[in-house]
Amino acid sequence: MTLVFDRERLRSLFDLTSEVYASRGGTFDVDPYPTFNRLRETGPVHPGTPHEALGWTGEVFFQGLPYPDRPHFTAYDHETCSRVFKDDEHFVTRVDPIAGEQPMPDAAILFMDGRTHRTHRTLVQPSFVPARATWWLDNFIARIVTSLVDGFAGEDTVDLNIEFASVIPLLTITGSFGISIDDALEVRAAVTADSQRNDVLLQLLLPIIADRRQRPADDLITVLCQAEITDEDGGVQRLSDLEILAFSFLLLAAGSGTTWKQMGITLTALLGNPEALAAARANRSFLRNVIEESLRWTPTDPVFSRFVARDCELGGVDLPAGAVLHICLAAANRDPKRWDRPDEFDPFRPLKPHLGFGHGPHTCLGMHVARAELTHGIGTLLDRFPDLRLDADAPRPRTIGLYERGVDRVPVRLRGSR
Amino acid sequence: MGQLSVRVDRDRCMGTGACAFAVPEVFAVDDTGRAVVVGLADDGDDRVREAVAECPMDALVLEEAS
Repeated sequence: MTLVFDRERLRSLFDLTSEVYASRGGTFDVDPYPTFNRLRETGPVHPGTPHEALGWTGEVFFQGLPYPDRPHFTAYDHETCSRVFKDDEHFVTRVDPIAGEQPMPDAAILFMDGRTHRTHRTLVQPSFVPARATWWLDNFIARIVTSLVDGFAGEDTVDLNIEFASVIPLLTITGSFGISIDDALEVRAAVTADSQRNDVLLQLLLPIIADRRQRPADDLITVLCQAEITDEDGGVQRLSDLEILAFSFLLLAAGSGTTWKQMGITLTALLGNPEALAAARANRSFLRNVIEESLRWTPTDPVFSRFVARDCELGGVDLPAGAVLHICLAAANRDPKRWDRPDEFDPFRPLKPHLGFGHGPHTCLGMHVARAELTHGIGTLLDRFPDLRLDADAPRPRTIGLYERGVDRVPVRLRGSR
Repeated sequence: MGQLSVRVDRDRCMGTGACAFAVPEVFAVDDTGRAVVVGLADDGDDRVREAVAECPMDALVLEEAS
């Protein structure tokens, strides 16, 4: 099987400069790190939002944004960011407890805290642990990667950002939900629309949920259908359709976008660094260093946010209850207290945990799946195309985006002499 | 070389797998989604000390050598 998609449709869905990403500052094209470094050097916590610090005046909708009536603060160093991620008593993901019926995407684990979060996350955690990476590889990732590579192997040039990096995570997560390849692009369009297109997802997912309740299959919807929650009174409950939908929305949205952008960033950095490329060609296990360094150096999600649950002091700054605290993990990942020459992409540096996947109870659920996608995807490209290199005749990739960062293209030559 | 004694606080652990990714010979995540110690940890292995220090849930505990 080869997979060939309508390129223009892919481009429209996976273009950071398009309207789809406007509300996350997709067109922002300034290097934010000099500003982050300057702020970190003068103190761990500053008033204001990251985008204000960067001079961005457009409207932004993101976790913890806009909330114009609340005071905003941002943490920029590793120690403080790490501490905030872990302290879910002072720094919570929502201001008001879930009461009554919520808009569906807001009822997901991203917006739960404490015991409720733990109870719900535990339901899906076993599907995302390191040992499950082979399940993801064997059922989805390997076939998708092979099919995509077969689809463009006859070409001389290809934009890997659009025709490779974008498709692997999307088809992996939709496949794991039992959603057909034909419907996968509709899912992506629905989860990125500013007013998330719940109706599209409802139409796609409700029949699958109904089916799996009757006929269990080896997929995530079945995991969610069979999951049991023990409440505080010891009663055992199954998730409702609504709860399964909320879970699904989050996993489909998070799974189909982040790894795409990180793969583009990683490919661009690797292909632009001859020593690292040679090391990865000589020894595929070096890709681990390449990928972790990419996640440290330029994480696709540079900022997450929390609400301050009660008055407290952080990094010498008084934070009032109700304030929004932005965790600039991108800045923390370049803290010179933790890394030498932090602004350099250097996969030869010793491995050391970074905050690219966050930290604490909300540490990225899909991080081991993302790593498997990145490792297998990039490894296959190196296997199949010994002459793979950035296309010197095409415009150079630019790293862009404010709250979702990525590259605008990864044009490569697949064969021929250097 | 001696052994490090490391324990998982299963009430705190959420099974993120950070430790299992960092030191797969020593840590794994079981079917219930919680970390377990599956191998011996050399006390000269800085990766184990780092995994303990970097656990997202502070769920790994180094016990004093006996």
